[in-house]
Amino acid sequence: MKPHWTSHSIKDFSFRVGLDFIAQLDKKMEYPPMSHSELATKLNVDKSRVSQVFNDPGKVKLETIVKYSQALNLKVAIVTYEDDDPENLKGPIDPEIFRICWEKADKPRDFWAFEEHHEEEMKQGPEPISTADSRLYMYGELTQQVANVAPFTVGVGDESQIRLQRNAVGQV
Amino acid sequence: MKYEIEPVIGEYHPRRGVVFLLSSDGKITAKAIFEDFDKKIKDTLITRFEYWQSGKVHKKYFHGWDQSEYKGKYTNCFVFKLHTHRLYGFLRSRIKKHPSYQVCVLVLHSEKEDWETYEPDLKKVETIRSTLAVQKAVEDFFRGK
Repeated sequence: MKPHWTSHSIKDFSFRVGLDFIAQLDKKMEYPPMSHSELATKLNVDKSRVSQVFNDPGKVKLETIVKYSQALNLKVAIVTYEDDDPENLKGPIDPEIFRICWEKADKPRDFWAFEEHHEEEMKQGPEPISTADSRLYMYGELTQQVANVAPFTVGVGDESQIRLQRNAVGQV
Repeated sequence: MKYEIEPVIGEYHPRRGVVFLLSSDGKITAKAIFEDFDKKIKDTLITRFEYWQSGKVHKKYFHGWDQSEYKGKYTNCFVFKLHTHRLYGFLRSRIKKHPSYQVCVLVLHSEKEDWETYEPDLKKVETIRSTLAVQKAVEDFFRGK
């Protein structure tokens, strides 16, 4: 297997992390619908600046990430993880995976809440999984990744909204 | 007319891959146009291919058409979108060995300014998809996997 394209340079990996961040904003801006112009107004910047960030997110500053997220009522976490892929043959993990895991764990605000959720889950047994892409929800595998440390990804989370949308248009 | 398949991503992925259809047929433009894009556009499109491969749903970036649209004529068609660029293709599952493995065969590039799909593009994809030589090229690709 040849290395993933993001392993060619730090610039490539950073560009992908930026794209993953923008993908989250794009999704959030789908509903309720918000245009780049409306976002620019909210941020008090030119529309051209917003387009620049969306089209070339590889060099976006942390401060800009926080600012854009907050404008959409989102918070940001920088997650590092170890995925047993030190040569980066497989590329980065999508930050949405981390968000979904957090939501599936009842959105713990701290480690006590996470522990309580885990204890509760142990008592009840795991939630049955029946979707075709159940791999997305595999609990142990993903929490193990969250618990370890290595490359980083930017994840944004909206506590009120997001859930996995699987409306299956053109999908298996 | 001779048709060939060139993998783009996911050749060894357990679920999905994206490939280009190659041919001297002038209607098959996806690969040639993709190669002319600058690195940022290419990397962004590759990322969108990878999102689809990973099972992500993001209709602004890619989607198919269901039974309720165009009387269900284009349920095999698929599109990846970036700015005004559209890369149209069709989906095909590997029926024999791994029915869960699916490829998106990218066929043609088109540019558009609005959100509405331009049906003639879908018609072209559907015509190419149903060509026996194209189906054979896809089968040969699956066989070699």
